[in-house]
Amino acid sequence: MTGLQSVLDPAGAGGASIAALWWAMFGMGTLVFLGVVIALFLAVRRREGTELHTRAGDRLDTPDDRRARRFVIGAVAASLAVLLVTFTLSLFTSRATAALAEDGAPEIEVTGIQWWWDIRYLDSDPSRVVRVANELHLPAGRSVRIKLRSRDVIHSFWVPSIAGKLDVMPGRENELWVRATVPGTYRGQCAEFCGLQHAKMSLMVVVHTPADYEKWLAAELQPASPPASALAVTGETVFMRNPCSACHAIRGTDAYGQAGPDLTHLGRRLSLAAGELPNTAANRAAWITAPQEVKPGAHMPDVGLDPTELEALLAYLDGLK
Amino acid sequence: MRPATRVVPRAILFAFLASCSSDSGQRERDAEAAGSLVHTQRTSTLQAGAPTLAVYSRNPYSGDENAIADGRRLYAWMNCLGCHGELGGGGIGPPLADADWIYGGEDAVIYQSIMQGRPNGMPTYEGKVTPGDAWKIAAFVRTLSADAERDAGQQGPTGQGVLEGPRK
Repeated sequence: MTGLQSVLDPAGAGGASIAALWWAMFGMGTLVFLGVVIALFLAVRRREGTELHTRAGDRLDTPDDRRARRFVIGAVAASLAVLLVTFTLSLFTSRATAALAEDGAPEIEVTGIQWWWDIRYLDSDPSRVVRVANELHLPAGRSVRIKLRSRDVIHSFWVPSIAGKLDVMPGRENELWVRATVPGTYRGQCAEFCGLQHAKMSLMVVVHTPADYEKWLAAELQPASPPASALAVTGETVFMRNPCSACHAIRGTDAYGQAGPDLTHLGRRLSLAAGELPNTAANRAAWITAPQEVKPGAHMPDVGLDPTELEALLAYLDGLK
Repeated sequence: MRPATRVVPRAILFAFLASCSSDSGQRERDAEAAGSLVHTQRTSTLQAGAPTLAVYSRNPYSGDENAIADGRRLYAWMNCLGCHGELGGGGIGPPLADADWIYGGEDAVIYQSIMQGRPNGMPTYEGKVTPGDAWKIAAFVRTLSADAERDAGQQGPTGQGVLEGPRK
């Protein structure tokens, strides 16, 4: 019942109310199940000689009939009560998950794209907008407004530990308020079938203490560090002269493509290709040389670099901390 | 020299037969020969720009719906739509949704226009898209003009109006 991605291991206000509702429903379901089993047992053990009138037109007036009638009425009333209580509980849960709005809360725009998440930390000053990919960083204990958009098809944003699930619709903006409570690393997943790599469209959620969050944001705001070695300088040229720079942005350089993930601080990411691979040097090489084998159908093409270009490019990417 | 009374009916018959042709490529060539296009008055079969690439004479993705859908995406991502319009209506650059091709409408020529650029504004995308992606864009661009001849109010390349009856 614990884990990175578990409804039953909540680490956020919305997630906690949903987990509480889940346990309440589980408890009630268990009671109902036991009641049904006991009723079944009693029916099987019904005493000999009971006479019930079951044909149409019969008058139901034997003592056994009256007992059966009382039993049925009681069972219907109990079912209604159970449903009513569940309904009321779920209403309160909806209310609790929707009541996280707060003035001056940070705004984050999350865009679902086949098959990754583009995440922008909005700011009234455009030069302070931070763009990351497949990784949502949240301050613990603060409400955050998440604007959900889609660039292509319907996706669904779901980080079970933190909040409920909300569909991401092309052509409109959905709004989800979240409040993470426990610092840690969690995992989210696209929850609406969106094409070939739907199963591999995940995102990592990192909840920081408020001080760490500010530190993280300040670090993300920095432009990319310049290449440190001669090989990395060559790598930067390889990046700029090849299709890499047409789709990927690296702030502080001439690469400003918007079609693919921003790579400014690639080295700090936990994963590659939307949670598909851990972010290691070997996996970066694999993803660049054979994207269609790592994640068939993904929009990352095999650019066809020769080994020396690849070596230089990897040295450059290693330096993007 | 033959008398004009015999040449003119023959020419009309020729034009009629040409207009009956169901092969759209044939019609385009007829149209070029007739010089009926709006923007280009063709006086020779010579073509501007470098010689056509011989790698593929035909687009490997031609008719591949999946690749065409990718091409539509790339057309937006590479900002082709910035100049040619979202549906190829044109703007800063020439329209792509009509039957008029300045450099020729063959797959390899479209590919070449993308990769090597053209004078007066079309930049080169060599090194910005992979060859495969360029072919996908070309496949999508080709679909933009697929219905051009049927568009209401337009003259077909053979000079026939669309209201004169359905053509195959």
